Amino acid sequence: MKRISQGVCFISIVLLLWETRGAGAETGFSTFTDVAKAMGITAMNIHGGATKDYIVEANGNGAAFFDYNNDGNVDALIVNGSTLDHYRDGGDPLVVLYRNDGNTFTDVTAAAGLKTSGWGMGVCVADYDNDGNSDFYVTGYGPDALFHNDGNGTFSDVTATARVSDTRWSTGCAFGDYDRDGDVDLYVANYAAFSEKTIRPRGRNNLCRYMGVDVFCGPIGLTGEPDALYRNNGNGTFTDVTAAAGIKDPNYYGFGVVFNDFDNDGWPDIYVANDSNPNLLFRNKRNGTFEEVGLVSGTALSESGRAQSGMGLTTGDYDGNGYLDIFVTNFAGDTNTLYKNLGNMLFADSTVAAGLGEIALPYLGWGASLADFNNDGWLDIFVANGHVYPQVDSLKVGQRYLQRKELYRNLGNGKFREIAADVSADFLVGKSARGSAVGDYDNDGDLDILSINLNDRPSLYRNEGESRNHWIGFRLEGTRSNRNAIGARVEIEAGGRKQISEVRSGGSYISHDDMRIHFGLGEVRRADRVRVRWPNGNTQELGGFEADRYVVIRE
Amino acid sequence: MNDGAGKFHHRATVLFLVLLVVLFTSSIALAAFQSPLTAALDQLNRGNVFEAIRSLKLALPENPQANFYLSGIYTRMGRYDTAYRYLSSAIQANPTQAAYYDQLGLIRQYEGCRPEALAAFRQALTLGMKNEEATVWRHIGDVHVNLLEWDKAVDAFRNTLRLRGDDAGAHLALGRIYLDRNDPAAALVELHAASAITPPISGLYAAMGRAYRASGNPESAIDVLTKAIARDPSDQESRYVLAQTLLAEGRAREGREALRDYQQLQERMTQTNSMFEAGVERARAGDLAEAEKVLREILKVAPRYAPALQILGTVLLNRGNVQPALEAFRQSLSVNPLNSETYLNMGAAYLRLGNLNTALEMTEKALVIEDEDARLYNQLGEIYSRMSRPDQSRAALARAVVLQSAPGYQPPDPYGSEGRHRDDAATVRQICGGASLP
Repeated sequence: MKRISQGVCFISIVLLLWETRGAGAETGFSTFTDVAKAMGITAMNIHGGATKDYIVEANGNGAAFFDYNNDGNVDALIVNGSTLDHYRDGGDPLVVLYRNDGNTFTDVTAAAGLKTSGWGMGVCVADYDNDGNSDFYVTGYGPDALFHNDGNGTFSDVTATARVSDTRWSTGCAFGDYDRDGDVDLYVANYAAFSEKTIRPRGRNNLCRYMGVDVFCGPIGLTGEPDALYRNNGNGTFTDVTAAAGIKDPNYYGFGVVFNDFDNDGWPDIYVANDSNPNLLFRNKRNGTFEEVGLVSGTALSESGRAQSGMGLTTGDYDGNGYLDIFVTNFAGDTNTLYKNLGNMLFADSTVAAGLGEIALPYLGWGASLADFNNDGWLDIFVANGHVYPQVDSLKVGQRYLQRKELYRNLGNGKFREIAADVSADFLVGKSARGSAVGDYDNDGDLDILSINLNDRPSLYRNEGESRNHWIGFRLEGTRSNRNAIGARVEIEAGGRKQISEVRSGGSYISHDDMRIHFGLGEVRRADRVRVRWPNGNTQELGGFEADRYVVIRE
Repeated sequence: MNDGAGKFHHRATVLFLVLLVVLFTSSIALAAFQSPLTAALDQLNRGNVFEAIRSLKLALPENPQANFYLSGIYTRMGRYDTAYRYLSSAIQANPTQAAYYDQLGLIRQYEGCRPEALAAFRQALTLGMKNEEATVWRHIGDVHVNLLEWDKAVDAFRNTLRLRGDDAGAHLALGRIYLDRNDPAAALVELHAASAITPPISGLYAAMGRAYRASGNPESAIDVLTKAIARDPSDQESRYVLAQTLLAEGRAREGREALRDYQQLQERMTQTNSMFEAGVERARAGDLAEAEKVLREILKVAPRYAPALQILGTVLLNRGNVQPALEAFRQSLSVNPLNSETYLNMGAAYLRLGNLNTALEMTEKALVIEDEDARLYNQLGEIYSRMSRPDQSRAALARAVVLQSAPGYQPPDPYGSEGRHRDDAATVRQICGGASLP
């Protein structure tokens, strides 16, 4: 009897330990802690009033991780909106810049001379003049702004001289060298024509309702604004080449945008997530023009041929087949969409097959990242969620205004499993999140997440890095290609597996990730071979590199 | 693009109403009906919805059940405020009639008030739906799908099938849920069950194609989707899924061809819609010549697009071309015989021609469908006046004044597809009730 009791006790302890591990952590995955306040990132987001009477108050902002002072630490830039009252008087400061001092972030907005006000939306970063310092472009409801990094810790607003002032309601933006001439060009996604003088507020238009309650009007019913492509002239100015380059946007409501080489031909293509409209994929014809192939490539619509409400997007080779796949966030009641790249500019909607279907339905997705958060060599998916209608809380329909994050672990077999609850209690705190950016702000080799919360303070989710897996990172520096090497493709071979990634500007929901390339290596301690295809098409073969370090590669 | 859409809608309405009659008669003994109601139901069973509305309204004072049928008709017409008005009267007369609450649930669901819809359906079950309990469970399942409560939806659809194994709608709904849950094998079982029931329901073959593709059987997917498109060339969902399947199978040329077909049809629809909007805008702006030109262009592409025919008739009438206007209205009515705006305008056209009897007949027909539009009474007053019937003229004009004086009245848009004011927000607030909004 006693022996039996001891046996039962032993089994109980084992079960208890097993249960404890199951409830608190996903095996082999890192946990995340919101350290924004502790790290000093505390700027309150201003973006319309609490009741969201107009659509312009609801779409929120993006953020960027980038190293503005070349000290090796990625800094954080947060875009700010405004309110209709403030905007009549010029708006609110467009951005807040936090310098990463290693163990804390310091607000250096004023010291950096970032005084421009307006109604900011999103951001993308690039060293557009190849002077070695990263500049950034801020989209807005109203005038956009290009800030030149003066190299001394300050920025100058060069929007007018650079000729990129777009006064339409812009949202996403991305830099990319579409003509491979060595400097980055700029794509700006525009949303809709909006004026509080012509659009009725919530409650004053019988047609603007969601599940029976009055909500703000739009975007359906508003006139969409076409996107714009600006070619870099190489002398600090840009030329609007939208029409000449064949960028035919049928006035869709544009949000997220990226430049990526989807057909592996060495030329950057452009993908745009559109709200309530088909998404657009512009194939680079290698002669300075593009052909829109969204529908024929299978990336415009859902699997059943429906236009969804594209918000944010991210790209990455989630299945390791050597092609960049696309993940798009969508509205609540609908799935996000994973477009698996089959090669030859053909994609298959693999959302449901990948396990990303039913589970996402209650959430309204915005920021998104395909990134290897546990360094096991497979790209996971992070999604920042939040509803647009505060009024949804008054309905008993299973949707909330403040929503949790989603984190999907890549199981390495084409499928994902949602594990947010297992890896972070902070992911489960309801927020009306919008843009998000991924980067290794503490240079410890695992990827952290900055998330913007509408009318709230930001979240900075530190990756606690318990996975013990190995990794390697690359910072690319172009010489003949653009200095940030935006568009460069890095391919590594490690442990018998190949992985690819590209340096990218913009992405997620109107945000910008750390431009360093990051690969998880699992248990492998070395990348055996590294190959870089630079944006100008030249390739560079490099030997092996030991794991767990950042490597600078110059062209 | 909408060729025959109105007719389809009309046929669907008739089918629905026949079902409604069956449903109701299973709950209430036919023997209790008075003859005017019986006559009205006879009209419904024969598919003459317009005459059924007229008869039901005539039967109303003595037969409060007629409110229920009128509610069903107006629900199918998308006129939820009117449908709710009639249903309220029916419930007031007999608050324990289960079928009324099923109807209430449908109205609330269409208005987007899902929790309230569920409450109404449950009330129907509590009161006892007898042979139609299966239908109510399917309605409940539909609401749970909209609420993203898939487990509850599955339970509800299962209840439907337990009570009525040949409910194609429930099989299809279950198939779609299993498909979205990445269980294509279970989905195929349900979808095959749905396909064995005739007539085939919309969306079935596209779902089946997706299920075959997801289960690793692309050849069967291609086969079923190809047949679906051959059967119904307007099945765009099947065409898109077919294209995606072909592309994924490396049959790039065929896939791109299917996508091209899809794209061309989509563009045609988009173009027709935007041209229609442009035509309406031009008409509203008073540029009638341009409006006529645009609307005639639309009708070249979609000759039986009832809204375009209706607006074209109105434009022609306002340009003084009475006979061509009447022809457009006649064509519009042949597709959609339940548009009060068309009858109103035909009445105006005949009035202009001095054909007072036909003008009166048409205006009265408009009143059969829509009895709260002040414009109809104004027109009626004018007709009576010209017919030297001053008392009737005064009564009609007085009724118009009453309607125009009602709180919240807004003059209808003559270039709206129905040209009829609907205060949907107020209706929804009244129906959804309760929740305090920020």
